[in-house]
Parts: sequence; structure tokens; C-alpha cells
Amino acid sequence: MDGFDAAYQQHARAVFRYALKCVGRHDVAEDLAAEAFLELHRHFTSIRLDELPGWLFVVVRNRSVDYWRRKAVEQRYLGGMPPGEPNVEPAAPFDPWWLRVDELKPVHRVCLHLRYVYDLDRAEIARRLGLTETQVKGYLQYARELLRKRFAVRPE
Amino acid sequence: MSEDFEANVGPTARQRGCPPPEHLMALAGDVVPDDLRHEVSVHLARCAACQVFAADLAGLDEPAPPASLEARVIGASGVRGRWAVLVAAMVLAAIGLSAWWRVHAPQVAVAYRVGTSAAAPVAPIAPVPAPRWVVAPPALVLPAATVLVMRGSDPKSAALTPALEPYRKSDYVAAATSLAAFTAAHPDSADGWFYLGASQLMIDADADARTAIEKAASLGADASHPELEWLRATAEARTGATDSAKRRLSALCEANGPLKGRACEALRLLGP
Repeated sequence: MDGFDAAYQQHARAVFRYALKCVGRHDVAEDLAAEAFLELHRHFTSIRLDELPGWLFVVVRNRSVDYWRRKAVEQRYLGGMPPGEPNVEPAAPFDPWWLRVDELKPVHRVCLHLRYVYDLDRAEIARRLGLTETQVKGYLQYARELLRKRFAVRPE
Repeated sequence: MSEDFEANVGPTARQRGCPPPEHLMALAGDVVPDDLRHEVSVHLARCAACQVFAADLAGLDEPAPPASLEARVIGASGVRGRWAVLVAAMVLAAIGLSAWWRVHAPQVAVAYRVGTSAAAPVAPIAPVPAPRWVVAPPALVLPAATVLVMRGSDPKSAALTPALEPYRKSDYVAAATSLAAFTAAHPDSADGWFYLGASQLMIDADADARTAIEKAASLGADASHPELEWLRATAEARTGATDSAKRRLSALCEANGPLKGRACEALRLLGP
């Protein structure tokens, strides 16, 4: 294993998690982490190893700032267009009771919320959470089954 | 069953004007532009559903880097010669295309501004930040007295060891969390505050890092951690306290210590 491979193995986890914290999406975080390591590879001979992983964090941070700037431009562009769906507060109070079901793990509740409240399909949920579609399908099936039992005894 | 559940879900996030999940997740970092952070915070303050959902997002298991990341990085870097140039170009093109697509592709829940019309003016993009320099994480060195006590039954020192484990593994996101919990329980631990500040600095949580390092300094951590002044100056420079940062860097630059070179270079970056 050469020096670059060793550096990757040592710091990939922290760099990826930092990127995820910066942008909030697994797929984008993977892009940013890949860019940082490829940048490191290009400059590997001129960088001191004791500057890692700080150097990688700085690259990720700068790329993240660029990412949010692009998003802001996109938002500004879309903000001037007619909205596709009315953005109104519904009259009925919203109570996502499934988020309070302790028998479910956070990943179950998050998958449910993304599927039914954010209206994302399984593939998109998998991309955003870094899961496989099969995993998402399994989490949703388990959560719905558990909630069905809960529903059956809910006093309504 | 899914029809039963959907019938009881209520309005969609888009109808409710809830922010996209990535905005809720990224709120924990400090890279989100101020105007966006403000919008999401305003929404969070009044939306109980998003508060609970954000807590669940934060409670997800710590992710491992996807296998595809290693394939992209090691695959591109492991090929030598002219093929390396070709592969790197293809990977960069794929990244560029991917980024372009994310900007131009239709997004879910893009118009979620709360209390503002679609034609409302957009706040200007955040200004370019002050010069930044790379900071190496301080080595994990505890004073001899602490190490001796750690072998005993002192509960504070016993709790510090597991709290430092993520730091030992260079996982500074987890270290910031574990050390924040440790210092909350043991606010008089100079080492705890020092490594908390170092961890926060590594993940660019600069304002929090500055507070933690100042706390460590007030507890006398500089006696056992010679990098404290360097980290403190860095945190100050990143949070706008340029004059104070310059004073510390000047002192380090004029001294013949191991940080002289870095301090002088940082001082040059900050300008006159």
C-alpha cells in the first residue's frame, strides 16, 4: 500500500462524514470527498502528511461553499418562476405521530417520512441516505407493518 | 397497508413548506449560507414535525464511506502513465456532469420559503470568508499526572478516555460530540476542553472551537499543550478576531518554537 492509499484508508471515513455534515446528502458528500482525495493525489508530493486530514477538510469545505452557492443561484432562478404547487400552510394541524413511535429506529422513521411526507421514491431515499433500495424497501415494510399493528389499537 | 398509512399522513412536506431534508441535516455544519440557515431556523422554530424529523436525521447511524468512493479514488489514483490522465479526466468529467445535473435537474421541495412569496427578493450570497490555513490535529498527549490518575478510579479521567477514542481515530465529527458531552459533565477538565476545541476546529465549527479553546486556556491547558496558542489564534482568525489572532501569531512567529514557520506563514496570509 503506497502513501496515498494509506492516507485514503486512514482519513476517508472522517472526510466523508464531514462532507455529509456540510451538504446533508450522501451522494453529494461522496462527490465532494472524491474531489478532495483526487486533489490530494494531484498534490501528494508537496503536502506534509501531518497536514492531514485538515487539508482534506479545507478542500471539502471550499467545495461545499461552492455547492451552496450554486444552490442559491438555482433557488434565485426558481424563485422568479411561477411555483408548480401552492406553498400554503394547511388549515389542519399536522401531527407526524409515527415520528414518536419508539419501537421504530430513527432510520425507519426517516424512511417513512421521506417516502410519505417528502414523497420521494425508494431509489431517491436510498441515494440520499447511502442505503440500497432493498434496504429502504425492508425498512419501509417493517415500519408499515409495525404501524399497522399500532393503528389497529389506536383509540379513534 | 400503505394506502392506510398514506391516508393518515396528511399534507406533504412541499404543501407544508418544509425545507428539504438535506437542509435540516446540513444545519449542524457551518457551511450553509447565513440566509438559508436563517430561513430553515425560522421554519424549525414553528414546525414541530420538522423538529422531530431533524432529531431523527441526527440520530441516524454514523455512515461509512460508500464502496464506490474508494473505487473512484483508488481506481483513479492507482493507474499510472497516460492512462492515469485519461481516467482522472473521465472521473472529473463525471463529477462535473453530476454537479451540473444537480444544479439543473428538477428538485423536490425547492420552494419552501416560509412566510415569503415566490417573488420575494433573495438575500445576497455570503461574502468570501477570511484567509484560512490548514491546521494539523494536535497529537493526543495527556499530562503524566492525568495518565496516572486514569489508571485509578477517578471518574472524570475514566470518562475522558472513551470520549477521546474518536479523536484517536481521527473521527473529529464524533469526537466533537463525545467531548462536548464530556465537558458538559466535567466542565473543569482542561484536557477535555482542549481536545473539544481541536476537534471543532478540524470540522470548521470555528466559533464553538474558539469558545472551547478559550475555556481550556482559562483552565491552564497551555502548560501541557504547546499548540494551544496556535489553535486559539486560528480560531480567532476564522471568527473575525483578526487583531487578537495577529498578536498571538506574532508571538509564535518571533519565538523559536516548532510552530514558528506555520505562525509566520499564517501571519503573512492575514496581511498587514
